[in-house]
Amino acid sequence: MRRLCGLKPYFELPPGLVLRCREVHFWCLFPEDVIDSSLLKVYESLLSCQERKEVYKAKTEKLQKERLLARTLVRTTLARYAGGCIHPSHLEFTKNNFGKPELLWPKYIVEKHGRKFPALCFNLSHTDSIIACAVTNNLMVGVDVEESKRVTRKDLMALARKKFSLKEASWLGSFQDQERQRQQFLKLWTLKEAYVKALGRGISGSPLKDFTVHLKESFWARKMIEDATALSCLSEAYTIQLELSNAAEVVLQNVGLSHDALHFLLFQPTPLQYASLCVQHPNVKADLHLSTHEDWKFYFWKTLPLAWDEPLKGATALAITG
Amino acid sequence: MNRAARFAAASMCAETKALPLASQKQSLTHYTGLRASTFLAIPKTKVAAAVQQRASLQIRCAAEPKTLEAVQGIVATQLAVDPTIVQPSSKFSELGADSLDTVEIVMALEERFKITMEEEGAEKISTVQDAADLVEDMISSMPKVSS
Repeated sequence: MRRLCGLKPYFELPPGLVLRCREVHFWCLFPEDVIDSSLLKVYESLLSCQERKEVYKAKTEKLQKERLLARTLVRTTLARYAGGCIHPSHLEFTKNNFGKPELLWPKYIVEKHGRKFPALCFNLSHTDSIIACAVTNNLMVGVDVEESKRVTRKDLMALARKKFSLKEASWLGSFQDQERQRQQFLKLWTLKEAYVKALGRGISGSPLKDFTVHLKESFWARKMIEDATALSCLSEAYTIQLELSNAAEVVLQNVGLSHDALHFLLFQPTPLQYASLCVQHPNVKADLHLSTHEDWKFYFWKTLPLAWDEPLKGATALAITG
Repeated sequence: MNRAARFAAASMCAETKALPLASQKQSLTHYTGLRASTFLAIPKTKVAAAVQQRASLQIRCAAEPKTLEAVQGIVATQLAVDPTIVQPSSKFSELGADSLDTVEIVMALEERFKITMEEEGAEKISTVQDAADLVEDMISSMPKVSS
């Protein structure tokens, strides 16, 4: 019997939260919040046999904990949207042809009013200090997180010349201040990674050099951020625009999208991380003509699975597509 | 004997000697395409010649110990892990490498060994051994400078 009803409340969504068609829900877990080792044992019991094996293949205890928390976050988060009737351990996952994890079962989510939605789309990313899972209602989504204090061993400009497009490398080179340049590098990196992960075609399917992410200071960015998110915003906010090479356009066409179909949000869950979301704009699916930014919402939650969840406070938005 | 053949001979001999006899036969056949019984009876010099002939048909040889050691060191430094946990069979992901780490590791390997790794080749690396093997492939396929 796959369905278990009458579960404890923590498998349900926070009161009043519903995943609508034009929404992106960002859930995060901070490993430093997990201090109870018995909780880790419970988390382990939620995983499939294969997932447990994968956890223990990691070579250090810290990495094992990170993997365990990542799988736990995915399972408990997605179970919430299944109306609280499906136990996290009963979810089944598969990978697409390019290795991107997808939800195999349940294929449909039936809301309590009987409305049926296609399967949830999700994406996962984690670093030392945060595990993040983004969820949408059948919209392609990619998320990437990085430690904001990360210092690369290799020279930033060498990395940019190797992996970024010419325009991006040139933009990065225009920053004289080393620290500012490092920050801009990481922001660009997360945005580009989020794009690749959203497309789900692997890095060879969408080489980083084939597209350019433009960050432009904009007076309007702040208003757009306020409309779409409840996040606080710096006075210096940016718009994000995507420019594709011919090859990248073809890749997008192959998955049925045009170049303006993917939208980005760049933000800091806490001052310690940069995070990027790349998500398929809902208008692409809808037949209705809607204005581009109305009804397009991002929600942010922080959780300790099976224990508590709360809105993510103190996050700051930096840039949005516009 | 060209460099590729020397690699093949050295690594093959070293590796196969460590194996039980049945596995040795299998291993040698794999490397040279010759039947094992024929092979084991042949003196060393003739083995080298046979390998040289075969080497031109692009065998992927296991990397030399020195290359592997250098790769292990680079990976351990980049990922800030204890070098003893970086085994040839270790996957980068299992050592905690994310996509940015992988790019930096590839760059470090290119600098250290004075090679250029193609994008496709670099993407297929998943273990430390894969990286060492690819490095050796790149080195042996580089045009020689005549002295």
